[in-house]
Amino acid sequence: MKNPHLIWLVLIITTLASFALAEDSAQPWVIGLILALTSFKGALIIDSFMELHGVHHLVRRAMHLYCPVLAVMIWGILQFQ
Amino acid sequence: METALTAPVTADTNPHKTPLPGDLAMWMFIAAELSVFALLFLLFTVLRVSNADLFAAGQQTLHPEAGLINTLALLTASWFVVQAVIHNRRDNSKTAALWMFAAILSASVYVAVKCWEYWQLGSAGYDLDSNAFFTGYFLITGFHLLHVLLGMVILLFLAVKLLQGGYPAGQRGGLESGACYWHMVDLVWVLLFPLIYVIR
Repeated sequence: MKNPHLIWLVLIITTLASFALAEDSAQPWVIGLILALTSFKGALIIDSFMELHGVHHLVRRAMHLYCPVLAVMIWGILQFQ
Repeated sequence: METALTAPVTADTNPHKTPLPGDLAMWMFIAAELSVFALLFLLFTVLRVSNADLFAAGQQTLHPEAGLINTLALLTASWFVVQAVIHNRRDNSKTAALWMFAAILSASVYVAVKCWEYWQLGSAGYDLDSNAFFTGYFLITGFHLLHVLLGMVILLFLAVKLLQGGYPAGQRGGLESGACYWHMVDLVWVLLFPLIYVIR
């Protein structure tokens, strides 16, 4: 596992950044940015904390698709609001 | 020579292939859990689009700071679990157990804050039947809370077994599976937090 301390710090900073965006989060591009940051955090957890980095298995591919696909679907649905 | 030929291929013997951490059965369980949460998130989003004003008013009653504290608590708990796994690999199971107890403590912060949130909303007269927003809110966060509680029981089991030196080299699948379950709980909250607390 490569530098879990740094990964944790990046996750914390990204979370705080998402939270700071909350005030303007009604705009579509801000919602997109928040969901993109969420997908990035998900990828970090999957690769670093779950230790799927370098694993050649269907499980890793499926896990890596989970956050971005869900984020895009949520963003798409919210555009009908 | 015969022993070398018949030995199972693991990460230790084959450096070119990184094995899947934990048991495949746990990954199937994680996939099933993530699918259920994905459906709940999509249902919540669809309900939100069809009841925009109701959901906006519902979000005003929540405490985003509580959601932020919970996110930090779960991410920190995951980091502690990672430390426990690393220390166990260095054959330092006692230190690993301490990291695992630290993870349980961090998870307890989440449980305490979530119970406080429920108490606040309950005192204000909101419950599962109040409206579509609170049905979705209590259903998703309550379901996640149950997973956190189950995760804490698993982490406690792992910590006690680590104290007894129960995960020596070659027998660490159970520890890795439990750790991956906990990270799944963290991953779900990472998606849940912006959906319920941040995006307005």
